[in-house]
Amino acid sequence: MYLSNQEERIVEGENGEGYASAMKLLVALGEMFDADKLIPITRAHWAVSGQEGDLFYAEKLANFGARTSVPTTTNPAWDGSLSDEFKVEVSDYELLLLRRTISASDKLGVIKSFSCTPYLYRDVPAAGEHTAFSESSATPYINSIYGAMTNRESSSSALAAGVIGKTPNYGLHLDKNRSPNIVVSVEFKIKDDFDFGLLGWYLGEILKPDDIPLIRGVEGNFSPEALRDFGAMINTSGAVSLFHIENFTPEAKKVKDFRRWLRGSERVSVREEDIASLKRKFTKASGKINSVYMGCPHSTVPEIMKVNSLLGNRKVHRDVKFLIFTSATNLKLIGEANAKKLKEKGVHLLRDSCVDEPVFKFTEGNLGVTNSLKAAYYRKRRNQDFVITSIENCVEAAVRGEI
Amino acid sequence: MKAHESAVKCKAVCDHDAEGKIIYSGKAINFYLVDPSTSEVIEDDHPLKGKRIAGRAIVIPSGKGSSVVQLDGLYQLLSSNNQPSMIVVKDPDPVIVSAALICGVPLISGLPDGFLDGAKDGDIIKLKCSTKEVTVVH
Repeated sequence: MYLSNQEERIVEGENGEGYASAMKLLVALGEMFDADKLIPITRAHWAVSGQEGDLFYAEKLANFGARTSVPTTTNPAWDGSLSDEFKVEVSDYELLLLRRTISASDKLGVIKSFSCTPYLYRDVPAAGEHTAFSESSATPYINSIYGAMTNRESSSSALAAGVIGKTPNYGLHLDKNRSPNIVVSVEFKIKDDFDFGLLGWYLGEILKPDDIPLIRGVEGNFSPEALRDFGAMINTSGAVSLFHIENFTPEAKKVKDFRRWLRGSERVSVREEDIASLKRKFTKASGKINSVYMGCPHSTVPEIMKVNSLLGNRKVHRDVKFLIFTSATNLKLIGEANAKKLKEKGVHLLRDSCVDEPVFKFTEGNLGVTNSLKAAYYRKRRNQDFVITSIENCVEAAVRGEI
Repeated sequence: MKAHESAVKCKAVCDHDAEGKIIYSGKAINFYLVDPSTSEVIEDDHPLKGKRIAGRAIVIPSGKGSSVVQLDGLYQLLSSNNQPSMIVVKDPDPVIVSAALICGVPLISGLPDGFLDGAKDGDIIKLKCSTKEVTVVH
């Protein structure tokens, strides 16, 4: 890979060890994936986790002088004050990891958005913009729905790109690599956002890593929430960083001759029964529940207000913790009056947090409900089973205390 | 024991020479599902379940898992000095490449088709980092 004199001097440590560590990672990736050079990016999203490995690299940059040079947003960790609210024991070690993550973030000068959906409302790239976005729902969303360009980044490579302000030029930064290699025909009508998320999960399981599907036979005005869930699920059960929807996504809309655009001749079709059997598998449990998890990826303002109106004058059952994960920005938009109403009905609005964090151990071991396959997948490691269903069904179950 | 006829060029992310006994995995690996204290693979239904990978040259088709867990898994192995001596991967992805570089575990890719045909578990792979050359000792 070609490096300018200035880039070479950064590798050699002219700007300090922190910048050298960032540049070395970009160079290693560029050489592994045959990039010709580094190209400038406008923004980055760092899927910081607060885990030790991630923190090891972040501190290696932060403590040795590296600072971000383009706007770089962050994924959620967890809100340290929650352990008081839910009266759970969090170990000193877990708290220390959180504090170190915040301290490294401050040194690096990132925007502590602590949200996995920066691409809705806050950090929105334009079509053709080169970026470096890690986070499994963010990568497919900005590639597919906005037509912006990012590779599947690791948390560390997105941070390195945010520091240097550049990324290796390979993969999805090149137009020729963005055309579909497989056609997916959906042979039934998608009913709602939840079914669209199920379709994403199903496709992630049957597609190969880095396949770029062209999806046909779905119509519609998809909500941002449906598209968010579709991308999150296809990239959790599988590894798909870019998809196209006929007559809908920007790159598919530009195409005049689909046959020339397609690479290869692979075809798959999805029948109503495929999705129905997946749904049965995820909804078969029943019984008393101890929790509702919404917001993986983070809930939007309309989703939170939908819960409020579905509840009406009813309250969440006293044995159920109704948790909605969202960003501090969304909480601000909802406003104190609405937040208070929800709280009185028994709904906890949580900021800055991810469902897969130790502070939520008070729901482990018992059945929960969620609208997110991704939440259920990650929390299974924490010994919690879920019924996965629509927001409407989640709210009804929350009121009854069982499903 | 005799060395493979000749050394071949590969793509490598490395800062030191390495060698290790081959351990083959037919399936992708996620280092998050390896016990750091023993280096035993703990993922259900994985062909390497129960096998130890410390010090081995682990040969895998690809990595898998979210943008952070691969790194954390390898980092935990490194912290217990139970990391593999190298990772040989057919289809690398940015997540596993980042994890290998950050943890200082050499990662090799781009070997010629068929180069490892005939090599078996226990044969030794050697990497010369400066020239990015690989030899197999049968």
